Amino acid sequence: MEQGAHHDIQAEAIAWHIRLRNGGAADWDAFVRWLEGDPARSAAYDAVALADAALTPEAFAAPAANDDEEGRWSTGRRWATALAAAAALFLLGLIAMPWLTAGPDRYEVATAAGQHRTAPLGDGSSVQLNGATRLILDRNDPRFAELVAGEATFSVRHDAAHPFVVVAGDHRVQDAGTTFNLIRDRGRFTVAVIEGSVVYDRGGAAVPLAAGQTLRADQAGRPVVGREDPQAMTGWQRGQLSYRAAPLETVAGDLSRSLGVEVAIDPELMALPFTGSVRVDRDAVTSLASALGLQARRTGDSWLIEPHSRAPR
Amino acid sequence: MSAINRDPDKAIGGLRAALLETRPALLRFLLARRVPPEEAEDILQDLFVKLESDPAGPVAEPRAYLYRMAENLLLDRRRSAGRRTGREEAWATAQLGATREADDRPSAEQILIARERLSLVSDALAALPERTRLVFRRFRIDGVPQREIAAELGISLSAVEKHLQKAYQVVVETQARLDADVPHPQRL
Repeated sequence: MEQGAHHDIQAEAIAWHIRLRNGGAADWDAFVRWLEGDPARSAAYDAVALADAALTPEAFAAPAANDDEEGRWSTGRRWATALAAAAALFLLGLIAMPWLTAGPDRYEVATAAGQHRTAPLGDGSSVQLNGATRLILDRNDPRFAELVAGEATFSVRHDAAHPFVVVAGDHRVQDAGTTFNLIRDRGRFTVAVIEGSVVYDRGGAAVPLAAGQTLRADQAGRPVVGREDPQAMTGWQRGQLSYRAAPLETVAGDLSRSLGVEVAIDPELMALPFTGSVRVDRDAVTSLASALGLQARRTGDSWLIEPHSRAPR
Repeated sequence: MSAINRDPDKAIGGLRAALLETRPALLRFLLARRVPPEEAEDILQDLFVKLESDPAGPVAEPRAYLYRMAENLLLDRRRSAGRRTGREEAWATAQLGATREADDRPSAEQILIARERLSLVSDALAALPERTRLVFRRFRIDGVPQREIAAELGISLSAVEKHLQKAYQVVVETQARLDADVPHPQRL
């Protein structure tokens, strides 16, 4: 094997992967020409794209935090289960990781998958975090929050002189006296306004949203405004997720966050509309699948919802 | 209100028109990605269905958007290759019932393997220089474009790219090692 050649192709594949993340049509056209130049390039690109896809935000967790959790669970037997769980929850909720926050006064509030937590924002405002959520707050600026990943409901006291702003990547949501729910998950960004109103902004195009309105944007930046029952928007806080004709992919993302396991959907089923409600418990995935006439399969530490196979390999 | 709130039918019509126009280029792309011709047609069909079933707002760059969709569909297939036999079923909207399937939670061993994989990847990332890790995290997890990362850290665009190249090399190589150690039956 020519080690050097393999390495070069890999470096090129990585460069393409990086370039295409925010690539335009011309980048993709050029990518096609690169692929056509050597049949080995497509497989090299697969290795990069699939390795990247397998990368979860947990892999970025500070190792110290991991060790702490690890130790806690391995000695957990000596403790009453409930006590250990409560302690872990408390610790995880308070882990601060200053190296990934921008300013000296920024700190991170995080929950592990499956956990909920409420954090005060000062001046009577507060935020409720769903599982697998990371939020950056600022000690000096109670009117700022950054949703790094996950889902959170903000209950914000309105102050026209100091509007409350949440950023999530290049999405920006500014309150106008409000309770609103945000989801940032695998390139999907969703705003749901429960009370009052907010202004959504991305790249200078301001969109006002009133109570009962939702806005969804995907990675390519297509924002879609819709409508939802405000009660259903915060169902995760009560362990109940309700949907009307929601793509199965969305349901899976919500379940992943609440259950703490990856729930994947067969690509052909991602757009399958689901109407109904799901109770968040350990049977949630299998119940959902069987209600749709599908099967749920556990692979490693994740679930896959797929059609019943007729010819198993 | 803004243009974002306009009739989704019109927007999706625009994408559909773009798909017809871009179809030959997408087919060429899929073939260059080594997809067999019949499967390439399937993917384009899926793409069309996805556009129909997921009404969307206007897209800044429909052509790039469609390339991305095709690539995502292709990757999803590569990931779950061999796990599917047919796709002719029409799946209707269903209400959640009370039926339950047999318990097939993972064995303790599987959980340990998964944990070990995760910890190997996160160790590899933790071993990167702090600056590289920060750039990678901003790009990959926070979704910040390279230009913005460069501005944030006061470094050049090519420096950002070098950090990303290095981080991705570690990720790809760690993954390759893991795949070699633990043969994965679902690999293509």
